[in-house]
Amino acid sequence: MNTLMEALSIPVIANAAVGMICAGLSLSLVGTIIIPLHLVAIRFTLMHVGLFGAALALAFGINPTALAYIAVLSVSLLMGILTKNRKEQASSIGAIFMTSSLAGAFVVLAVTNVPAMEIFDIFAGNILLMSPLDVTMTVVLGLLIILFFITCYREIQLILLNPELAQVLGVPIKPMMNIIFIVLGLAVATALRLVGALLVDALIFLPAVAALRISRNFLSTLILTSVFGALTAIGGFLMALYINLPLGAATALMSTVIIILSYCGNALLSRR
Amino acid sequence: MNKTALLTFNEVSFAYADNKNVLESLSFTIYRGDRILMSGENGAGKTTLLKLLCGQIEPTAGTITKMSSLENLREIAYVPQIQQASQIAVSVLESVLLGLWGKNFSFLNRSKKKDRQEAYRCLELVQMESFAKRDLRELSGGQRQKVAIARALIRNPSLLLLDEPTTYLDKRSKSEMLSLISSQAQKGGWSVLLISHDALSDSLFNRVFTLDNTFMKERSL
Repeated sequence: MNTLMEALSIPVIANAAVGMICAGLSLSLVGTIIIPLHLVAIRFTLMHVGLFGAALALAFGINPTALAYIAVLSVSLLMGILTKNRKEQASSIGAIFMTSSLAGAFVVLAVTNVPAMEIFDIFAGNILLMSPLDVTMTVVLGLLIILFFITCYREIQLILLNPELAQVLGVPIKPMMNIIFIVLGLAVATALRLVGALLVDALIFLPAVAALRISRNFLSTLILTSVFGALTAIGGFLMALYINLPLGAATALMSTVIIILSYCGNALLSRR
Repeated sequence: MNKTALLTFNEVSFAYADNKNVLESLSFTIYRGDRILMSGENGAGKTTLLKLLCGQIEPTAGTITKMSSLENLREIAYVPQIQQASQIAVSVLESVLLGLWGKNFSFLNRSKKKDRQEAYRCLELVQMESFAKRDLRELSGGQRQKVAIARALIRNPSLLLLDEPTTYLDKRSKSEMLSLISSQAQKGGWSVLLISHDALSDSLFNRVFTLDNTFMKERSL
């Protein structure tokens, strides 16, 4: 306990703790949308777009995180506009953006001689580099995501249940899909910063997978996702602190434990 | 007695991206209180016709004239063709309640206790009240179809559109659901358009059409 209090008295670690808990509580909610809408592959696209943005930023000597955010947000917005059909076209358009962003990043690397490792450092994520401004941005984004789920609860539920029916009932599908893409983009960009590209799923995807297995209605899915996200973040943070593991890896391990427990929980619930 | 026209198709054609007309120069009128059975082979354009009726797609030629009350979607209820397994956890009762979106509640005006009571009543009508708290993902295709019918009934619409609503139902349930739809429509003064490629009993309908892309024929009853 003393070790934890001592660690939290260091501003950098306190920032990291607040950032992780907030991300766990809120970013994970995005997973409940991307699974039913088959947007799982899109997060890969957005990660590569972030990489391209960071490569460009390093080449021009500007803040790589800021440009990665801008690139991810712009492409999210574009994908929302270009995607008419939520299943097939999203993945096709995503593949085009992913390939071209990756190609763009390599071209920038080759032309400008920016060391590749500098860009891949961004992919590894480093929560200890979070400034108070980064933490504030994560908290604000987290609150916006939670607000989106509260205000559009029934509309999100309808779109996920049956988009065709939602459209006939009058739900504004296109604006809602645009918002969903923007929220997804913001969540991916923030998770990139926290745990790195390779472990984004630990925060965004796996808590929702675990919640979907054991919940029986939409509200419980959202609450459980948020709780699992927070547990993943806190557990990962504590493991990193006490066992001296890399934070990204510790977070991913924690989410794997939660997934295994959810499978066991589902088996128990099914027997009742 | 004068009949009130609810909706009129005037020389309506529709083509998808390949430019080949799926529907060609269709003209017909749906009157208030009509109970219409529209049959036809697979690919005859039945689902396209329904999508035109509920405004999901626009005709490539011709016009659709709707009564002013139908212009906003509050007065239309729709049962889509495929009741695919839900990808999210949603209780059966909640799923029926969602049928009231745009009518009794929307973004800033949330559902009330009486809406939940109404959802429960509609589940009773389709004999699914004991499933109210179950997750929709646990239901069979036929049970999901009954829930979809309850979700349409709760809307108390002027026009009820059903696309193959009996596909997964056994013979007995099929007959029970059709009788229920017919009796509810008569009670509420709704118009119904039911599309099916199954041979259904004509007795519950007052008009029967056969559709085959380029022509639509009304059979006298």
